[in-house]
Amino acid sequence: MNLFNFFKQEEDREIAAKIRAATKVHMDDAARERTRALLSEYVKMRPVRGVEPLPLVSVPANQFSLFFMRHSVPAFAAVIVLVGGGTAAAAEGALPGDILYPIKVHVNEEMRATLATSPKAKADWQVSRAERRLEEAATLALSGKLDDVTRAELDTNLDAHVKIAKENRKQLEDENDAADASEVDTNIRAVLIARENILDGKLAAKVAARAESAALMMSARAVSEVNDAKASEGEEAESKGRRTAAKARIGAAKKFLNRLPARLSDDARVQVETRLKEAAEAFSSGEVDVSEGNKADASSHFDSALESATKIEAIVSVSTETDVSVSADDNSDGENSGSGSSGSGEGTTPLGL
Amino acid sequence: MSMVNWRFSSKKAMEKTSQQQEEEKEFLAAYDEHSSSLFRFLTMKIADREVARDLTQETFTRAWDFRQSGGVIREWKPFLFRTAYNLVVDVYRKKRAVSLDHLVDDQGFAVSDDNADEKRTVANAEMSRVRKGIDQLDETYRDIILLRYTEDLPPKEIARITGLSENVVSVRIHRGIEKLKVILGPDATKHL
Repeated sequence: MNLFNFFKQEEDREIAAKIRAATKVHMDDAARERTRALLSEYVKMRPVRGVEPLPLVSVPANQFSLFFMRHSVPAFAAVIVLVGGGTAAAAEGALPGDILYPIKVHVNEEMRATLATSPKAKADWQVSRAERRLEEAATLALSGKLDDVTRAELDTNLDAHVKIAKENRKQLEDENDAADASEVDTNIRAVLIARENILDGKLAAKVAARAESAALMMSARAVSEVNDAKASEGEEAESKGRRTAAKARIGAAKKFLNRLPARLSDDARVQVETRLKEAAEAFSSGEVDVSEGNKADASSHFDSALESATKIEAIVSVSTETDVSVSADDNSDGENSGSGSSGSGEGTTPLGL
Repeated sequence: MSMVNWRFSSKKAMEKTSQQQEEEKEFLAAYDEHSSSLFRFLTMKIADREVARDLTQETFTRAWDFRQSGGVIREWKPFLFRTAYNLVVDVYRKKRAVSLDHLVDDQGFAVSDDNADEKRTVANAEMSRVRKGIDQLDETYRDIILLRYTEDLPPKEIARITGLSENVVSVRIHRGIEKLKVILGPDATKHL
């Protein structure tokens, strides 16, 4: 080593020591312990894979589950302590009407809400909760179980999440954090656009069952919604709205295929799987475009994803309607006495499209 | 259910409980070991104490979600730093509004008690000057300099965290230090 290199290395060591000394900061102990306690609770609620979840049992929504829903957080905190983390994990997949659904909403999600401390993090979680309500609605719609009462209930819950997110946005504005406030605002509007697509989609679903142009019609509705907003931010909200709707519909289709594959004929299942693959690939491409800053391409990919995902509902709707009507015909002919089925869908032999 | 089956399922349940407890223990041990350095890195990167605390929590929550869904974490430190780094890049894109020095002065950050020798030899004014110098560095160099010297991570691990090649990391460390020396001027290595 020559003399120059020796001095240079010494110099680097000295400046490195200065950097170390000048940047050593630490979290205060109280905050550190508080976070540790929250994480400790969190891991108990979400056990690692291998702990078998409890089966999801459907009960009438107007009795047992409503009782639990009204005696919300403290009761469920006690329940969770008694039954353990497996239940909380199982509850994550619950839908309105399932016995574990109140645990998902009032325990798991509330617990997760306590992990967010800044207004931005709180708003983000409330937007995520609203998206979860949309996915539940889309899953129920695919199963033919999205009745008006459940739709209204999900809509009310979504409103409550949006309301809190708006309060958090206001707080950000008060703190002069315009960038975060604007991001939250865009996310809220995106959720509202997705709601138009999913929760108000009863009519759209019927239309989609008859014509493949339904997705385009719903895109047009989303566009008209956004026209009320400021142009530049509106475009982003519109694209995000279609992304949110596509994400909810893709998630719902996956759940539907896992839970109720027997409701579909082989042909319909193949069609659904094809559409789902198309939707997932387009969605994934959209995500890549977003990460690379290609907004126009992202928007186009999310459009495609939503279009493919929306068609799934139409395929399922036609398949199950045909299935039910033919099962009823079979029963009226009196030729199906051996099956014991009365057109429930799951016990019948599904027909192709 | 036969007695043999009952015993089998009971044993299986106990094994799962024990496995879960082990996972929790390992996770909390990782928190104890790495939360301070993660918080420090996030604070330095975004210059906002509240958000850094949120992001530290979020980093651990994501790590557990990954573990919970069947993912395997062989080395916690690079995994956590990579998660935190991506979290800032992907989710929290806001530019720093406050200088490091301002943050240390105004938000009650204490300089830690370790490295007492270094602390004794570097005057407060000099530390302030160094922080201002780091602030002036381009983000491309600042992140890597902080990971290298504040967190004491080798270039190989920094490369894994940032997604850059080890060679690029080494070059940036070298150039970052050179730039910092220029910013701090001829007194950069005095007062030690």
